[in-house]
Amino acid sequence: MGQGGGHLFTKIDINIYSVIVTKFSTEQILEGIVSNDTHVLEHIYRSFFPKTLVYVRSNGGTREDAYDVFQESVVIVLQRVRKEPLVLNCSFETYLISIVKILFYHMRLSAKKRNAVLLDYEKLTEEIEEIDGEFLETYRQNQMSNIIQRHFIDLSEGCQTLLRLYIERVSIREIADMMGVSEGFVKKKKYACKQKLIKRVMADFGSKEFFYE
Amino acid sequence: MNNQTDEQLLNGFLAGSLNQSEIKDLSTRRMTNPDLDRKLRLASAIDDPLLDWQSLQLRKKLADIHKKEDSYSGLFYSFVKRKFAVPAAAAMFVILVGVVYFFSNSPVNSDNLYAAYYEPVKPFFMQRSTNVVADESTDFARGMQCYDSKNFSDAAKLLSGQAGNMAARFYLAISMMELGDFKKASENLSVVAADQSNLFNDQATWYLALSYLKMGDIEKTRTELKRIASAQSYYNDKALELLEEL
Repeated sequence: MGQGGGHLFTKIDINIYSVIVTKFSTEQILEGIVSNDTHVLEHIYRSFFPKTLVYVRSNGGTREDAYDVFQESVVIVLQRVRKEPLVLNCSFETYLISIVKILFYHMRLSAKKRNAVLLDYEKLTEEIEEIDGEFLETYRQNQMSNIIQRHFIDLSEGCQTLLRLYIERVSIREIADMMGVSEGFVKKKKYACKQKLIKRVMADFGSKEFFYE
Repeated sequence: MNNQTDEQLLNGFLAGSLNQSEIKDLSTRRMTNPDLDRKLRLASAIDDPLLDWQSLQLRKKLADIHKKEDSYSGLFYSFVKRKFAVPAAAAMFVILVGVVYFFSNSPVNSDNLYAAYYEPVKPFFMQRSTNVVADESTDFARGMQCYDSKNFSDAAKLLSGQAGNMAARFYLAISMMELGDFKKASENLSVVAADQSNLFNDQATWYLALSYLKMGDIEKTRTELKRIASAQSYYNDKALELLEEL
């Protein structure tokens, strides 16, 4: 499929979604993100993912890149709102798309893609700082957590359940009883799951610096 | 300083099995090895983000919505593109006929491939006596002991009455494979593979693919292997390799 086909698809997406979406105010959207409200999240996806896709594609990214950036952006909004109340002097769309641009820049930069340098980073940071002076700090603080979480949800459901139970300090004995397996098996599986997670996170980071101290 | 490699010490750290002197040794080594230091920091920091249930739930819900909308968009896209599809379909048909002809003349030897890829599953429970499930009088525990001693016939009998226990179902299925009953094996493996909350679903999907392979159902084998390949499971590499051979 050529580029033309891809653009046609994107336009059709936007038209359909704009007809069927319900309108939410910025406050409702922010509340919906915090409460994990399905209707609000569907609205966000249908309204803003196509726009993210257009931006990412027009800057050399793929549909998969677009979704990664979109998900990260919404999660960062959650982390930002949890930190302190957010009052926007622009539409939610402007805010989200500014975040998308910053994140996509970082994604391209870490993947050493040539056209990352074509994006004007200074302009992007100025834009976001005007809207939300706390954003970059929140992004910086959560960068590593977000990478870990992203890989965690890609693990099998079994691994996710096991690691969560363990981290929540449920004893190996209790986990073994719950799952109908032996303690030895739980220990081995927990170790394997954690190794898998660390391996994926390390591979994702590559030569990038993990920690901001 | 002990003789263990950095990797061994790191693995011991992750498993929580290092003694005091090993921990001290690891601390010394990390000071001169930035890569080890980075890995250790990550290993220590990996738990906290997983306690942020709110962010994780948000990610999961967005992923669900994306998956749902993606399939909808895919259908719509194929509808729009249908007018271009007729010439393409005709060309594809000609190619397909050629491919089918080629494969019908050089069939996949599923028995050989099965033999190359099938490995017996070790019974995790039996590796140390202390790890044996608590109540050895249960059918499950006795079934696993039979499995461990390769008495698959008795293992299958004892494990077959426990529909809700995914571990029992999994080992029952492997016993059935060992006994050559691949139909029953695949029935049980399908259930385990479909249940996302158990610890055996990665393994079950792989062995399900192998069962289909042994039964000569190449189409179903491919479907399961593609599922494994796209899910980034432990069997990812093997699945891709086998897919290529098919």
